[in-house]
Amino acid sequence: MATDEATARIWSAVTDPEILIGTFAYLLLKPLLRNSRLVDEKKGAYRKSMIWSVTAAAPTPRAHDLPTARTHGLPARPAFRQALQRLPLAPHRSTPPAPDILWLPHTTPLAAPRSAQPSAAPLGTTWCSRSSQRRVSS
Amino acid sequence: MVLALFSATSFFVTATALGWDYGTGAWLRRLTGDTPQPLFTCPSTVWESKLFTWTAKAFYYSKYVEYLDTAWLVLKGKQVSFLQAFHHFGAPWDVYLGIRLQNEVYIDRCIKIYIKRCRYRSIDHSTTGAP
Repeated sequence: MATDEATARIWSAVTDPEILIGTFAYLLLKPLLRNSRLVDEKKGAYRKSMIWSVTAAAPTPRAHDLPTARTHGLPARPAFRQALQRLPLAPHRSTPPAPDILWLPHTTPLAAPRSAQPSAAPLGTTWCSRSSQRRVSS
Repeated sequence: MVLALFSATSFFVTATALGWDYGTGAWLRRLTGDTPQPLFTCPSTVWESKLFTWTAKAFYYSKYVEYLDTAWLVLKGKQVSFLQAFHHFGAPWDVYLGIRLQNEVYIDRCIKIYIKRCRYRSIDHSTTGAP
């Protein structure tokens, strides 16, 4: 009987809504915050205690927040941005290709003449980033 | 800084509840009407102490405040390790079950509080440069 009583006590403890809600809310914390506008990757954000700074003033876009770097999963730093801009790379997946862009259709060699290049990327075209060597299908 | 002060206070109050305070917390026991409670008795008497029980509950709720640790990592765009997530998910369970089932093993809290007090102080020093 004592075992039954202990089991009932433990069962009652582990099914208490307070602990269940409290701890399982923790599992939601990461996805909720990551997809919020509160994320601030700037240096010194800890000092400004982030939440306070965001509520005190609307977040301002960062000067070095380059879509290309984000797309390729590379660090968005000013030096990297400048180096990247000198390269003839696809700046963003959704951006139309620039005239002098390096484009790599599946069957076309690297040194294809410019006259052979289509004005817009056809379906199935593979864009290649020289720096990251990652391929992104448009 | 706030959590470091909280942990230091919790450590002192727990030590006072158990009579490990060398007389420095006698005024606190007089205030609450508690007497120093011995450990390792059956049934346990530590949960009759108001100081012990209140500190235990405060420590339990501080586990939820510590979720901010993860929140700041996420807001800074940093990775949250499995160990970090496991710790913050499990810590409230650990403390909660200790209180709910009135388990005396829970006394390890006293040691944890001191460790956490040092940890918070260290974090405070490294992030804000406080001496």
